[in-house]
Amino acid sequence: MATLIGIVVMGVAVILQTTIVSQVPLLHGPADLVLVVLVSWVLHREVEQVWPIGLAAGLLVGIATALPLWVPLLGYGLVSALTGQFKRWLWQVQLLSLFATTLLGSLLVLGLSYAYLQIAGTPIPFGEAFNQVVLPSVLLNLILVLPVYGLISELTKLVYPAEVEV
Amino acid sequence: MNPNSRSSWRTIALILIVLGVLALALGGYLTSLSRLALGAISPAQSWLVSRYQAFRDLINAPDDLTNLRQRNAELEAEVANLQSKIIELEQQVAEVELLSALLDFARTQPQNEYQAAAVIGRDPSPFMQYIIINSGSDDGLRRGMPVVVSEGLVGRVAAVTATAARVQLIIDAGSSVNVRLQTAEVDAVLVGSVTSDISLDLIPQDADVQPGDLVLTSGLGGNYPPNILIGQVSSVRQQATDLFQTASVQPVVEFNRLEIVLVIVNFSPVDITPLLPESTP
Repeated sequence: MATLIGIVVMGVAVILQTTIVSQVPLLHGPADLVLVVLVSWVLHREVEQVWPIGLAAGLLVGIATALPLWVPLLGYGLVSALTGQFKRWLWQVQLLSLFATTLLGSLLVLGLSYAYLQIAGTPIPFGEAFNQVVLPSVLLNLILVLPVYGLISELTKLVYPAEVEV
Repeated sequence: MNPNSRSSWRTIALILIVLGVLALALGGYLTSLSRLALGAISPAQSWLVSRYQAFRDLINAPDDLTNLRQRNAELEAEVANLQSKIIELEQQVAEVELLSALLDFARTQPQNEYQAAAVIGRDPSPFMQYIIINSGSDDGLRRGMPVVVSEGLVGRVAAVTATAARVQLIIDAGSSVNVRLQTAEVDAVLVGSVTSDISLDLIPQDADVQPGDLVLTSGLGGNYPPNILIGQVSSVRQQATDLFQTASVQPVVEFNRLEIVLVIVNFSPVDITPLLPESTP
């Protein structure tokens, strides 16, 4: 049930991303709300099933984007796995995990998209892509992740109610 | 003297005095006197009236205050309602203006059949300049159909589902359009970029290209109909060591403000792939 709610949350994030967030870029890099929501959701201690959420995010983005389906599927899948690992390694410093996974996840997803486009023959100069798209996008993600994490925390409290000892 | 006759004289004297005063008043001889009297009375009147009104307000205040608060709430609700109606009407006016412009454009191009569609989303990847529109194969859309607005060329349909389609904008880094420079009468290729800037490539070195030249689709390659406006040349770069000139183009379409677009549904792109020479190993 909790995973199902997580998938619905990802659906809402994809809709917001395609309708609003994509239209508010910094230079030419908009925030990646799907990634930020994914990281915020997976980092919560109660969330055990990491892969289904990541794959659902990848699948939903894959439907909306012109990139081949495997690119976002692999990208968001790897981000969910990376976040799961960070949760295990840095379970006492959740804030550090949050920022580290957002930073690395953003670079991973954008890097994968860029690599695909280069292989596919789309001429995108690296310097231009890094300065105009990647850096602003990563910055926006890092700014956005804290409030989104707060909202997701409230949601996870409803989805995963605290255990009461009787 | 008889008391009766004394009384009569007194009455007559009083009548005469009254008549005299009346005559004086009618003649205007008592104006200054009356002014003097009123001058003394009116401050007292004002003071008395103001105190009376204050007292009356004090007595009636709670009732009035409740009524006023109720009326204020009603008016505030009405203002909010009217404001929302104004916003709604402004949106409708903007939409009507947009549709009117598109209709005018469609009328000027009677050879084309159009399907209007609203922009419902954008590609989530920052590297891809695509929009999603709310018309699909159910409305007659097919892959490769050109998409325009009243100002000029937007792009072409890249993928279609039953009820939606994805349109590749001409500003996309993977987009290339065969164009013609109207003044210089030379062909070139318009390419997009990751920063949404568009530029011209493959302009012959001997072509006289000037800033301000209009850029139109040439129709070569069969991907777009000819003579659709794209923009104006904003700057030209020519180097003796290069094979071709390049130029920056200022597009006529505001790609970040697209709301409604027209798809040319009676245009089928020509697939010239079989005609291209095969690359030899």
